[in-house]
Amino acid sequence: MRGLRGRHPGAVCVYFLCVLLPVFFGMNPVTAGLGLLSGFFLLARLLRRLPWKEGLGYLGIAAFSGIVNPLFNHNGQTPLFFLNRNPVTLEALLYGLVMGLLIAAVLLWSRCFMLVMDTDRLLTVTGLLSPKFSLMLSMALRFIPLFRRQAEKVREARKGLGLIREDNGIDRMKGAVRVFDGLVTWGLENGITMADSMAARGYGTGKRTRYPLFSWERGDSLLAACSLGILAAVLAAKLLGWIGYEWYPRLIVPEVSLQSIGAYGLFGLLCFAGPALEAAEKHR
Amino acid sequence: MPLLEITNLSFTYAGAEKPALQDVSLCLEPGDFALLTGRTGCGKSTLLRQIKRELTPRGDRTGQVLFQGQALEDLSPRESAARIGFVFQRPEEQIVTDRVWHELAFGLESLGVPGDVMRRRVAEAAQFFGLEDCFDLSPDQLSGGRKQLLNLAAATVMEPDLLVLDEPAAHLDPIAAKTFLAALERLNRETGMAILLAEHRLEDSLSRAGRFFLMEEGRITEGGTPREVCGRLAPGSSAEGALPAAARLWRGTGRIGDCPLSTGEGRAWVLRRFPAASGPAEARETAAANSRKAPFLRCAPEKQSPPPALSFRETWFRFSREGPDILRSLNLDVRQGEIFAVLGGNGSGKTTLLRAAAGLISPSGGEIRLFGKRIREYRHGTLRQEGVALLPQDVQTLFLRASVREELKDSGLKPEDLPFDLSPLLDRHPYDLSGGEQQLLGLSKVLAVRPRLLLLDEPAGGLDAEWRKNLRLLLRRLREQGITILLVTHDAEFAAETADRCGLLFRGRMEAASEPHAFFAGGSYYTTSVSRMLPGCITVAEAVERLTEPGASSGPGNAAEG
Repeated sequence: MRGLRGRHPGAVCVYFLCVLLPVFFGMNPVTAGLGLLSGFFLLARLLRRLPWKEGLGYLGIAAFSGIVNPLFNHNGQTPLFFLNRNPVTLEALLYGLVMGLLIAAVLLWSRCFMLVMDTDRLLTVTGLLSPKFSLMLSMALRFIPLFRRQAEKVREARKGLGLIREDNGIDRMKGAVRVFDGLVTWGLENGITMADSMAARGYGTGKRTRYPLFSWERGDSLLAACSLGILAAVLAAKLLGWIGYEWYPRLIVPEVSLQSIGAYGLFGLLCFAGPALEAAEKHR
Repeated sequence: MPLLEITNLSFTYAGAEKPALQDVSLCLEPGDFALLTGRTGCGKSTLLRQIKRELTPRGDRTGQVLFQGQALEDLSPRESAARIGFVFQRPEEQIVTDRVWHELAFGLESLGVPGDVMRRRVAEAAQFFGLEDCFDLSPDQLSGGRKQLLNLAAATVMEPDLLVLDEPAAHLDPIAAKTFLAALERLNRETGMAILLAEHRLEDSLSRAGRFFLMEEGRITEGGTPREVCGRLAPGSSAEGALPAAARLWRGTGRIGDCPLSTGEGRAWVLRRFPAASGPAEARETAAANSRKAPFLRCAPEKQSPPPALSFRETWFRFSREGPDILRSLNLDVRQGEIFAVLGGNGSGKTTLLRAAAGLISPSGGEIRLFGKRIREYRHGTLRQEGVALLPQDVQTLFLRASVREELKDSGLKPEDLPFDLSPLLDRHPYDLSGGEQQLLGLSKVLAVRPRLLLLDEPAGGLDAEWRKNLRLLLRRLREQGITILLVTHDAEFAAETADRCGLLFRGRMEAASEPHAFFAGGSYYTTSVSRMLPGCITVAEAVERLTEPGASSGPGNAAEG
C-alpha cells in the first residue's frame, strides 16, 4: 500500500474535501469529533511521532471557543447563570464547544493537507483546473526567491563599495529605497528576457496542456469514488434529518437510529482511511 | 532545398538612423553546424532575432528570409515556435518556471501536446543532456552551466529543425562552456539538428563548426569552412584576436601547412613543423630565461618592503557551523602595487576569498591584514576610507539609475575625469550597454571611491577579445597609478596576459603562487592553451617570437632528422 503522498494529488484533494465539508458545515459533534481524532492520527503518521503538544493546542482552541461563545451569544432556553444581567446558556456553551471542535478539526486537517501537498502537487491540482493559472503560480514561486536573492546581491555590492552606511536609521532607509528602486528596473529587464523566452517556445499559440508529473491509477479512482460516495451518503442523511442537530432555542439531539449509526460509521471509515493508508505504507 | 536562406536582408531599428544589418545573405543546409562571430555590437543578435519571428524587433526590413523554402512570415505561430529553437545569452533570465521538469515541458505545454507524448519527449531530452538527477529540483539549485544545458534541452524538446543560439557560453566558466559546446556538437552529430551559434570566444567552438561566418558592422564579411576563413582573414582584422590560439600561432608564423583549429591540433602541428623549438629541455630553458626577463618581475625585493596590501594568514572560513570549510588555512600575500590573479575552478572559494578581503564576511579562524593592519581593527566604514573596494562579478547589481550619466553623478564622478571615455554612452540605460561597457561603468563606480586595493571578481567574463585587451591595458594603467589589484578568474589566458603573479586556489587553499611564466609552465592542465602547444611560452606573442627566431623554424625535412 502507498500513503497519501503516493496517490495522485487530484484524488488526495477530493479525499480531503470530502472529509472537510461535512466536518465544517455539519455543526455536528460526532462528525467534528471523528474529524479531530482522525486528523490527530493522520498528523501523527505524517510527522512520524505523536504530536501531543499540537494536539493539546487544538483542544485548547475548542475549549476557548466553548468559553467565549456563551459570553457573547445569549440565545438558548436553559440559563446556567447570569453575567452582567445576561444569561449564560447551556445551548450556547455546547454550541461553542462543538464549533471549537470543528474549527480545530479543520485546522488539523489543513495542516495535514499542507504536509501532503508540496508545490508540485498543488500546481498539479491547479493545473487540472487551469493550466494557465498554474503556470502563473509557478512563475511567481520562482520569481519571489529570485527577487530576494538579487536584493541581497545588490546590497552586498553596494556595501563592498562603501555606498551603504548602516550607521543610522535614515541612511539605512534611504539605502533600502534605492536598492528597491534598482530591483524594480532589474525585474522589468529580467521580465523582457523571460517574455522573449516564453514567446520563443510558443507561449500563447494555442490551448495549453500540462505535463503529467503524476499518473492517475486505479487506486486513485477508487479513493475518489469512495470519498464522493460517502460524502453523498452523509449529505443524504443530513437532508433526511437523521443526523441534524438543532441548537437554538433548545438543543434537539436527533434520535439514534440504524440510519444515523450507518452514516456516522461510513463517515468514520472515510476519516480514518487517511491515517490507515499512511500507516499501511511500506517503507521505501 | 536549403534549410534557411537569407537573401539581401537589411534592417534598421525603429528610430535609428544607421541600419543594423546591411545586405546580409546567408544559407544553411539541413544538419549544418554554423558559427557566427564578430565583435560585440556588430549585429549578431540582430541577425539572429530576424530568424526567430517571435523575437524580431520593430523596424524597417528589406530582403527575404526563407525557412525550408517558405517565407518566415507565412509560417503559422505554432510552426514558427516549434521548428526554430532559440537559446539566449544569460542562463538565469530565460528560465520561466520553478522546476526543472516543468521548464523542460514548457514548450510542449504551450503547443498543447498531449500528456503521454510530452512525457516521452521530456524523458528523452532529460536523458540526452544528463538532467535526470535534478529533474525534481528548482533550476536555482543548478550551476550556471547546467542551467544553460537546461535551456538547451528545453529548446530541443520541441524537436526543432534549426537551433539558434545567441552567445550561450558567454556567461559560463571555461569548463562549463566546454561542456555546453560539447553537448551542442553531440546534438548536431547525433540528431542532425542544424545549429547556428553566435559566439565571440572561438577557442573551443571553432574546431567544432563546419561553417564559419564573420560579421563586421552589420555585414557578413567572410564565410566558408573555418580553415578557409582563418587563411583568408586579412592581418589586423577585428576578428583576428578572437581566433583560437592555435590559429593565431599558425597565422603569425607564416601559415605553414593546414591551419590548426584546436589546442590538440596545434600541439601536433608545432611538433611536426617546429621539432627543434618544442623539445622539453628547450622548453624549461626558455621558461627559465623568460622568467629572468624584466617586465614580469617588477615587484620590489622582499627586504625592507612596505607591508603587503593584503595578507591572509592561515585563514579559515565556513558559512555555518555544520557547513563545509570554504577557505582552509589560506595563506596569501598581495604586495603593494602588483596585479595578483587567483585562478581556480568552480567552488574553489575564489569569491569567498574576495568577500573576506572586502570585510563582507569574517573568517572563522586565522587573520586577514590590510596594509599591515588587522581587518578587525578597521572600525565601521574606515575600511572603505582606507580604500578597499570590491567589484562584484555581476556588475549589473551596481546599477540602480536610468542612465549612465546619472550613475556617474551618483558616484560623484565627471565623465572627463575617468581614465577611459564613457562620453558616447552617457544617455544610455546601464542595462542596454554591452558586457564590456558595463564592466567599464562598474569600474568607474569602483574607482570613484579612490581605492588603494581593488578586488575584481571575474572581470573578463563574457567579454570579447577586443574588450579583454582594453581591460588588460586599463588594469595595467591603474597599477601604474599605484593601485594594487587582486582579481579572481577562471580564465588562464587573461591571467597570463594581465597579472604580475598568479596563484592557484583549490578547495580553499592556495596551492601555488608565482609569476605567470613559472606558474603556467609548471602546470599541465591549468595553463594557457599556448603553453600546452609550446611549453615555456604562455602567450601567442611569445610563441610567435620564439618560433620565428632564426633556427627555430625547420621544415618537414628537418623533422625527419630530429
